[in-house]
Amino acid sequence: MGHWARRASGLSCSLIALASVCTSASAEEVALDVKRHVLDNGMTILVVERHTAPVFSAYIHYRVGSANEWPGMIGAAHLLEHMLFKGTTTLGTKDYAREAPLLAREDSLRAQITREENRSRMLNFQRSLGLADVEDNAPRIAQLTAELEAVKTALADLVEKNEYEELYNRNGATSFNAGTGYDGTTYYVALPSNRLPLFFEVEGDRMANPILREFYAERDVVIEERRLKVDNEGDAKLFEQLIGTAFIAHPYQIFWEWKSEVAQLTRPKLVDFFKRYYAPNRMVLAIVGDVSAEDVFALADHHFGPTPRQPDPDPIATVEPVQEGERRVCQEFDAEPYLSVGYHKTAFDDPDEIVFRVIHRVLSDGRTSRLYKSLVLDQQIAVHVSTYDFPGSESGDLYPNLLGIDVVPKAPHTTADAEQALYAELDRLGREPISADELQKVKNRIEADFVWSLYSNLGLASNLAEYEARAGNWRYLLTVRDQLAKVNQNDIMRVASIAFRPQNRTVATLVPMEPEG
Amino acid sequence: MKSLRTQTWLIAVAIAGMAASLTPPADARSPYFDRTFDPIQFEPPTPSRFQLGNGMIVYFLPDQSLPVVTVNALVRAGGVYTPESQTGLASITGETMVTGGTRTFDPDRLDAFIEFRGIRLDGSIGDESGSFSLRCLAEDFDTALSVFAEVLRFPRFDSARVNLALADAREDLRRQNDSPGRIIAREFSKLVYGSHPYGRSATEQTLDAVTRARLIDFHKQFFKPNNIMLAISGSIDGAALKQRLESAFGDWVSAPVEWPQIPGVQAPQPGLYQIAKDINQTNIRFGHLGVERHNPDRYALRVLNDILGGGGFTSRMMESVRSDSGWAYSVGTRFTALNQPGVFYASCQTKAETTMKTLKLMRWIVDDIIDRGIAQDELDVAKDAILNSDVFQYETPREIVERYAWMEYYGFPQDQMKKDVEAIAAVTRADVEAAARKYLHPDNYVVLVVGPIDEFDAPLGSASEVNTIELE
Repeated sequence: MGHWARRASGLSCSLIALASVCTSASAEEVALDVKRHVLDNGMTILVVERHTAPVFSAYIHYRVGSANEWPGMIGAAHLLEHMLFKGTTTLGTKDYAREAPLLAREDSLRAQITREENRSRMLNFQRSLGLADVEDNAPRIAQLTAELEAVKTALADLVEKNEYEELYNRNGATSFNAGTGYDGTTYYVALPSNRLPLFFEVEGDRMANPILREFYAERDVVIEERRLKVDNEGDAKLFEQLIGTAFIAHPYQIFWEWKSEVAQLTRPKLVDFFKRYYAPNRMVLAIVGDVSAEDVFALADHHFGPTPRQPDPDPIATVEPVQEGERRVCQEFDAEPYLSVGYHKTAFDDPDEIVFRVIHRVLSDGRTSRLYKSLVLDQQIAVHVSTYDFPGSESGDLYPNLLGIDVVPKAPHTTADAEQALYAELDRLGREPISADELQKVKNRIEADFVWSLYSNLGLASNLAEYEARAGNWRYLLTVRDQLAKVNQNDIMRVASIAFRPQNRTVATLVPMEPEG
Repeated sequence: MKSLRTQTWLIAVAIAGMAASLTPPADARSPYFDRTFDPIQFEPPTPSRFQLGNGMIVYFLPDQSLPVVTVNALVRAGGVYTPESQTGLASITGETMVTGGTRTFDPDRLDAFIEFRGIRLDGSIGDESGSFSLRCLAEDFDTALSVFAEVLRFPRFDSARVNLALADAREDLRRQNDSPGRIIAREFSKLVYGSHPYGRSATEQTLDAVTRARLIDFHKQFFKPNNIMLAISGSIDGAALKQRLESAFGDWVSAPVEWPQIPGVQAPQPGLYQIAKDINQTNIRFGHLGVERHNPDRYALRVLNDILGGGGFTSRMMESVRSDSGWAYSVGTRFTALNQPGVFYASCQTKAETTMKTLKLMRWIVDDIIDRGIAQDELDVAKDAILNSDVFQYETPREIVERYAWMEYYGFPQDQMKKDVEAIAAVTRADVEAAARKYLHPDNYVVLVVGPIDEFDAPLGSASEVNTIELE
């Protein structure tokens, strides 16, 4: 143990000296050989060859998300993400030639039924006024509904259920998933490397010939997903209020699509949304694994090359107005108290964005972080503190976003106690410079996490695609590290003192509600 | 949760034989659908295995691709070895070993030391296993290993940190009914296992019994070099590793572990149970006792479960309840694997007005697979999915080395992974159908629902059949 004691005894006075040792483990030693290829139609492909195991991970990012929706289309990006697993003109169908006219008929019947149901409201009101000769459209609705049922039955016979999933899984797929963000929608899968040609055939087909079959049942699934992930979880309900209060204009204000919006989405609306936003020039594909870049580029050319480029849609015009006073909101729920606080901050391309990365770490990364130390360890006001960016894409968000802070108070302490302790720490960050040690610690941790982020095929593929999609160049991933090295104590004080002003703050508190009965 | 609206697309296998009403014309099929591929030829690297002088077992696989090292220490310890009156002792021991400092470091200095270097040092002790992990840059390995060894060997259990962990656990108890998913998991375990350790959860009273002295005793009882296995991978020199480990752990003297008697699992009383919660969706879970980890029929059961509800998207549950009906976002079945019998259960969340419809459909799906068996297509697709994804068990050196260690931990031979592949390949329709008849018992279900019970489409059962559980 003498060996150990020697190390330990030197510790307390040598943190700074050790820092220089730590930072020498820079990722410059890490080989990151990324090959990049852009097709004529604008699709970008990134490849890192890694031949350790005969597998690859593929990560596709489309530059469209729920921020691109508008009233009447809320939920379109998310539902479309679900629908793109329903097959193509040849996948997921027994006979598309017979299916196509039935799908069109289904849409038409649905539209007519909706129109009649909308008319019923007016007719019912006229009837309540005692007006004479009010039309009764119930028989018409019944007739349309009966025909719709027949069409649905005929369609059900033509579907090859979940054939897309069957195909991938039979071929050994893992990490098979998709996600809808605000600025991007992602699709990913890992397959044995000899399935690379299959991946391109399937994905090329999916981009060129998607068929949104089984649409109306999937719409119900998305509604059920909201109940599961938002309606019945107190912290999520609270977060929805925080976002909706902090943003009054920008589309980031909608945390999750409401049932009323999803329930009126139709297949034709989603087909339009797909045509508008899913184009090769809005797509980045990153593949990491046991592949040759040459093969990948040739396959991409062959299977995605024929899909034409589309004009870029207009960027989102709405700019969130400057917040000019604290906003507060409370949510009652059958759960214990919870506090969520948000501050408006920068988009990905603001020079201060990198400073916020440091601020997050100073505040909440680890047991030595400021909020953990103060609220959890020393004052014991809370059991948990976390900070995050919302929407929080790894590569930064396209538009100015929100810095969120969640605190779980520890009884008998209240959310008010938690607020007070939280603001004291945030104020201090804007008033006093952090120590050189603390800054170095944060930089070391970001650096170590960067190296770890390269470890898995899927992790690296997702990072490359996200940074490429955001900045048009994956090297942005590396420049973050150079920028980081330049962040100093004054930057942190300056940015914190501006961001954490009360006028820029939104406070959401979860208030326990006794269940009825 | 807050950054991405990710839906869980589980790994799926198919069910093509189920709805075989129409044979598609050949030209309607995707040209690539029936493409076949050569078997994957891959001889994954094998970790080296050696023992330290004191009996500690080490698995090691070098990996020069990144300048990092991972160490995982598997400890044979767990909540099953503690008395019911001290439930929570094992997990709080795991937590405070990491947070409570060591012989050399007080907790603050330990935190500062590891966090300054970007080292990740975590640990937890579950029902029947403990796992402590270390992740560091290769150049910090010596230092990090020394700290890691201190945490395992000489935890300080600093009083303030122990009190903090207990106070946090009490706050967690106050919050244990906030989320319906948490309620149903806990209460279902209680109903199935009764007072057996698998069914226990901490209470105010059991936390009162978790004292610092007991944490120290628990650590002393189970943390012995002969009861710990290390799985190491990364950019380090294998030749020097053994010496480094000997200097960190070598003077730790081995000693026999006294194993407390673990009670046997008793079959639960079947029944219908409900818990009222003022939410707009019902959580459903039903099932009964399952099988132990070493059960010889586990391969047939894996295939059965994938077809029934475990294989995700194209499992029968997912196809009927989600894709066809739109009644649920998430639905599935599971057999848990434990030293003693685990559970079989089916679970789902659906809106109040489709609660009983959904429960009925799920029960019918299980009945149907018992009565009518499976199609050859279903078997083929399920087996293909398992066999073709087997290579992903070897994707990174860390996964390889940890898998080897866990295999030995659970008492399987070194070549078990190869045997598993052969055993899955040998599973037949008859095996799966026999397993369904042998291991699925609808008459034995414990059925539990959590949700707005007054708004269900029908009652769970007659008033005399249904037991209503009041939450504390």
